[in-house]
Amino acid sequence: MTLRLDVLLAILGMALATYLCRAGGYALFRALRPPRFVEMTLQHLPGPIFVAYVAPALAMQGLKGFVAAALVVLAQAVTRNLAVAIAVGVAAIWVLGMVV
Amino acid sequence: MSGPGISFTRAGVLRGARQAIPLVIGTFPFGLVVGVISAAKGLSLLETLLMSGLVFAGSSQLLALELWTDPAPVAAATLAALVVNMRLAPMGAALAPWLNRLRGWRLWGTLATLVDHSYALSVADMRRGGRDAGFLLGVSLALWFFWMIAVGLGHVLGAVVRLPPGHPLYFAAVATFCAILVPVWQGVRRDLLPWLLAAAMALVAWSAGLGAPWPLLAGALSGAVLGAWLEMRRA
Repeated sequence: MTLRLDVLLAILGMALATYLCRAGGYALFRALRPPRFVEMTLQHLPGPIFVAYVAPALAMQGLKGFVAAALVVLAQAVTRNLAVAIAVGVAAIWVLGMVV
Repeated sequence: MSGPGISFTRAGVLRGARQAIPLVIGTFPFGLVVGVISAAKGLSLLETLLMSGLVFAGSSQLLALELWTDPAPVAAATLAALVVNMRLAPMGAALAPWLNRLRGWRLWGTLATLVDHSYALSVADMRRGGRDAGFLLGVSLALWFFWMIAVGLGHVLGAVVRLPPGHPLYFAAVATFCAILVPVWQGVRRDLLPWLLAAAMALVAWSAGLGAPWPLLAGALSGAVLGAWLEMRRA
């Protein structure tokens, strides 16, 4: 259970930078009243963020990644239950990994 | 959505916490990985938990740990956190209809806990007409609690539970985001082209060998700008 000063400083630096990202974006936009186009862009951000995160991660898995992702989307759309959808995804990648 | 009628109640916090539980299946293995690597890099359990508790952003923690040195790389770790977590900046702004009604610790404290998952669930809840901003904090706190357990467990059991790289359980994190996309989808006309562009730009940046946050930023921003442009043109 040690706490070294250099490690503590690195952690505090990371924490500060991260809080700046979390609160700074909000504070900036509240102070500056963003133009309509920026506001519209923000409304469109959620989908593209997760698509952009998921696309390379799936590409790394190859075909089985995209098949598993399709099954996850299908499971989520049908059951509307996140746990079921995630379990389907993990099971799919497991099984497909043995086949493909 | 904005205006009066936005509340912040204990019931909202609890509802958020309950809805976050399924997400833990996705974040827990990730937390284990962060814990295991943190132990491998020589951080003590206390240091590991301190980092996870204060930073609470898995991908930036993992990236910082990847470039960890002895003595600790203060500037590099700080910069890594800044770049990887830049994506969180617009999320707080997008939740303004809720956050604008909060003051003091409820506002700045809630913002301190903001992560991808709590943002995604909250945006979905907001679109369904949700008016309780406590929901956002509830999701985040539940995720934080299990994140600490997972990272701590990963550190302690590091040598024992070490999952081989590419273990199917790691796919849970990606599956989480795939599933989250379903309630975010609002139809072909609004979302198809922006989402396709986001995927294409992310893949191009990734194929070009660009590291951690760049494929994500390139895809997210180009997709969102295209979506906004198409919508302004239709109006």
